[in-house]
Amino acid sequence: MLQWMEFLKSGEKRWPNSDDRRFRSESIGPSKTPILQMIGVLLAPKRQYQGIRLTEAQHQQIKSYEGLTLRAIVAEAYADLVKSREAWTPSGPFDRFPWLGMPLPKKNQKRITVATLPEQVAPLEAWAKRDSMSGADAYYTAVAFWLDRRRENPVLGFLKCPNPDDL
Amino acid sequence: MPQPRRPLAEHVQAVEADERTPSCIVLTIYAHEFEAMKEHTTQAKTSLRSFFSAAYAEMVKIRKEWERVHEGERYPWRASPQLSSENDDVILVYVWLPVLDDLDLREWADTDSVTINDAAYSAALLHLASEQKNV
Repeated sequence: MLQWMEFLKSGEKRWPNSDDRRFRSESIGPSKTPILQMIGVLLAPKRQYQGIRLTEAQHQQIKSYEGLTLRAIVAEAYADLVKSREAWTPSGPFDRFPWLGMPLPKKNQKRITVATLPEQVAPLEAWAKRDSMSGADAYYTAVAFWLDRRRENPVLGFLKCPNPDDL
Repeated sequence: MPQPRRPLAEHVQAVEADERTPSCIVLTIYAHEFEAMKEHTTQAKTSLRSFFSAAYAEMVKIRKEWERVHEGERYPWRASPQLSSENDDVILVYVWLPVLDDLDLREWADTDSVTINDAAYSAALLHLASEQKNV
């Protein structure tokens, strides 16, 4: 067992004693070993699927980034918002972080569904919970601000929360 | 250990009991924000009804101006806080939603596909902020 663990850690593709009958029936390497694949699947963090409603303009903007996957955009947007929220301080007793309201499932908007990892979502959801915001509003806020910052003429100007690029 | 959820009725404060009519909406808001609104109206010797009327009128003006400057863009409506058993500071209030002479708040909310709760909350906060500045 110890020997097997050492082998896994070494990253070698083939078992050193390939003549050993005990291992001859096993193919070695992640692409060939169903058992290892199964372990990999079991150990891999489970992706969560989130539906985010966007305006038509936001949807078109997302589609324009051909080199970036939706998954990458959303992951960066969430990380950016967490950075901004961490750096934000209220300027008065009624100042609140500018969480935005997500569009309702009605006309003039599109829904995207994206797979995210728990570690990407958890910090954002923790802030949302702390600010009594729904997760949906938090996801939308992150994506809306990310898109706005990349526009030629930002509309929201990131409102009153810090731009993570300046932090 | 999580606190047991409070009964909904305990969260609810009615602006005026007789205003629970179809022209009212239920607004989720931070208690300290609502207290500040009440304090402001007491000091200004006006009613909460006047406060919200002024807030909606101001919001409609701002939304119209936004349309002129950012044609076709969705206004950044603020998300209203959610009731939560972990946050006692969020309450529900019944507030009057007047029908304004011009395009009213409900129609702008519909245009931007936002909940009337978020639109009313945005209006109330904006108005509170501008009133606080004026004091």
